Amino acid sequence: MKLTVTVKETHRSAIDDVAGQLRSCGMNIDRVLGVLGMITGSAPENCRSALEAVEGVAAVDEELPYQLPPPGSDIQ
Amino acid sequence: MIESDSSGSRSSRQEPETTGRFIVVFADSEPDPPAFLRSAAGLSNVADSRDFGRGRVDPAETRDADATVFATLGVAVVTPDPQQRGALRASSNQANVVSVSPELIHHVLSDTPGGDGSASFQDTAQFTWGLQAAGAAASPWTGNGIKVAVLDTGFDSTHPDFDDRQVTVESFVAGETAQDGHGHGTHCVGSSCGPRTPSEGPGYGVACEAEIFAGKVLSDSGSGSDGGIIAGIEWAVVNGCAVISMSLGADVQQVHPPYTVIGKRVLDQGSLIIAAAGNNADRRQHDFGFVGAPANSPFILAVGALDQQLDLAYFSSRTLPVRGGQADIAGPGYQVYSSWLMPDRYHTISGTSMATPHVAGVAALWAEATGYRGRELWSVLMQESHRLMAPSVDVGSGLVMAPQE
Repeated sequence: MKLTVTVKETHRSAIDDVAGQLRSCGMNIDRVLGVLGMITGSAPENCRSALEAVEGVAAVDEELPYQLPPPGSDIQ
Repeated sequence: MIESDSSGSRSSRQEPETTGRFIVVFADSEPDPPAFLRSAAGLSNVADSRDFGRGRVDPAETRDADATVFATLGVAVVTPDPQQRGALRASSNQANVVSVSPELIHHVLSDTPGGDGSASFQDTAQFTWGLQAAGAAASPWTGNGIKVAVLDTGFDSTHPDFDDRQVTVESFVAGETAQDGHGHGTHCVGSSCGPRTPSEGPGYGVACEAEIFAGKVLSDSGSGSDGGIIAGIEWAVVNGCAVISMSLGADVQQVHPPYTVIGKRVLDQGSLIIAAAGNNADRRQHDFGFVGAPANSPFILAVGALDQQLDLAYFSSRTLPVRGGQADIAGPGYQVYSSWLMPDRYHTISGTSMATPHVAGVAALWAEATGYRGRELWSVLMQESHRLMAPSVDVGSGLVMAPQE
């Protein structure tokens, strides 16, 4: 599943270390976003608790999907 | 400064009712207001709130006083005779007196004010109704020097109305360029940052001289997910965008946690995310809907949609009753004319997606006019918006308004 990991305030400067730990716990990382302190990627469902236990991780949230109406719709 | 002196009279409806007493406001530099009143105006019987302790002044005990001084406020209520009134007027020119004004009679407000229901805007040859309603058509501010990010379906870089504009594009959708293949993104870029004087048709862009950053976070088929959206937000912040417009949302009734943190961190870095409240209401069927994610996050400004009469659009979502779930403000979002994919060039559609870039554009004008960023920019948008009769759960602080001269 696709995931968004929120890095704790205290670990924002060490975000690359947090990303390395997440990788070793089975997360396939798409992006490390240093300015926001967020890491996005994907991981098997059964890895989630291990990811949440990584030092410096505040939260692990499953991605939401977003969908616009088709271009011909009057209401967008 | 002395204001109108209609002592003790019950005057016509246009004139305020007064009591015959006066309110004197002292400058912060005046150390002893009671002594000043005695010496400057010849008032002998001066009550001082400090003599009453704990701040409560008993009206029965001050009824016979010529003046009552509220020391904490630096204000006195004075009952002068004609000679003393003259002396007070003269003292109003002194540096230690801010103002001398007649005391007004206040009434319980029994009727709801305003709401004459007369508002009715329409597109003209010069401007769309939205630019008129939000005060953008008349604003001397253009967003010059302000960077605005629009995170959406990208942008049609071949659109001639933007030939002379600085537009930076980036795609966060795998396998697609930033070129808009839907139209929604080009429409939102148009309302927020398009021209006010295009070569043909009415002006439709609020921040017509802002620098545009069009990030593609939704695909040509209109779909996207958090990974691309968050990457787009980071890109906007890294590039110094003061305003991030996001006409996107998911109809979920929960706050999505990542956006709470992101909204706060973005504000900390001097930027502001403005997002569509959502179109999941159908008020024609008494369905009020709810503000979805990410607009329902506490640090993201949620925008509802108004029609040409400044009534709420029937699809515009109502406040979700959780922290952050409120509709914060409203913008023009019904039958909105703006740029579209070439060769169509223009298209008129409705939605909170259309209201959002109006607010984002106005935010850019305020950013330019005041230098405010982040929380201060949020605050001035709320403070300056035009109040409406509609419930606050639907329109928040009301219609977004652009800075004027």
